[in-house]
Amino acid sequence: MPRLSVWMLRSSLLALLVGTGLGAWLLGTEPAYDTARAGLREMHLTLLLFGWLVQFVLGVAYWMLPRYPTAPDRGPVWLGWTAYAGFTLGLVFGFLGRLAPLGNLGSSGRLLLAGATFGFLLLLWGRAKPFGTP
Amino acid sequence: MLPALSNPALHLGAIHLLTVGWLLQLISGVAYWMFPRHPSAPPRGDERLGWAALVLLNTGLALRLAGEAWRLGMGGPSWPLVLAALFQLVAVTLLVALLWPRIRELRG
Repeated sequence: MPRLSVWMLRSSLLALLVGTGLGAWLLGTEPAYDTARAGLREMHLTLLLFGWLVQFVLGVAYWMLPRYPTAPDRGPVWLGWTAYAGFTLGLVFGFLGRLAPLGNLGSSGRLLLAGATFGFLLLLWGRAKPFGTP
Repeated sequence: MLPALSNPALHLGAIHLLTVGWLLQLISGVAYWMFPRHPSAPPRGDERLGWAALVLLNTGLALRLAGEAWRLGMGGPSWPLVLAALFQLVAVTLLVALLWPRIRELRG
């Protein structure tokens, strides 16, 4: 498993843990459909959808999709790390933006998430091919 | 009882049935199967953790669905929801503990 996948998969497990903790707190204290706590519910959703699910799937895809015959066999490594950094920062900014409305932190986070996801798309696109083909 | 439920509660229950009951378990199950194994026995880690997570996750989910219906439809108590939250949180913690050491760098 490449180092980038290790970081992505471990980050995704952390997001799963934090997102589940938040969801458990929402469920255990009051039913989560309480509209007064829509912001917390949105954080729970973002952590589990992007932080866990999307990141986990992308991390496994980077590890397992067919590789290129020549180095770098998984595509440009810098693009992967840049996208990972953007993704993580996007999640953190989104989280902090929900906790305390600091300028455009929340929308910057969403932009970073979208940009990073596009970066991963670029990185993986060429590797979505039958095994054994160049 | 069900027609008395508010739509948001039914909606959330259905979403969690799919995302926790199906998606999380499918992904965790495949990860448990396919992630790099430990060089020494047991190769997939302590199997008891996995079984405990499976039981707790599904019990927690069932308790959530029943408890939510009970609370909303008949003004039931909140303890089933507290227990459901606790079970699911412990289950996810066990899953993370089981999978974490198997995520490691391998050549190739």
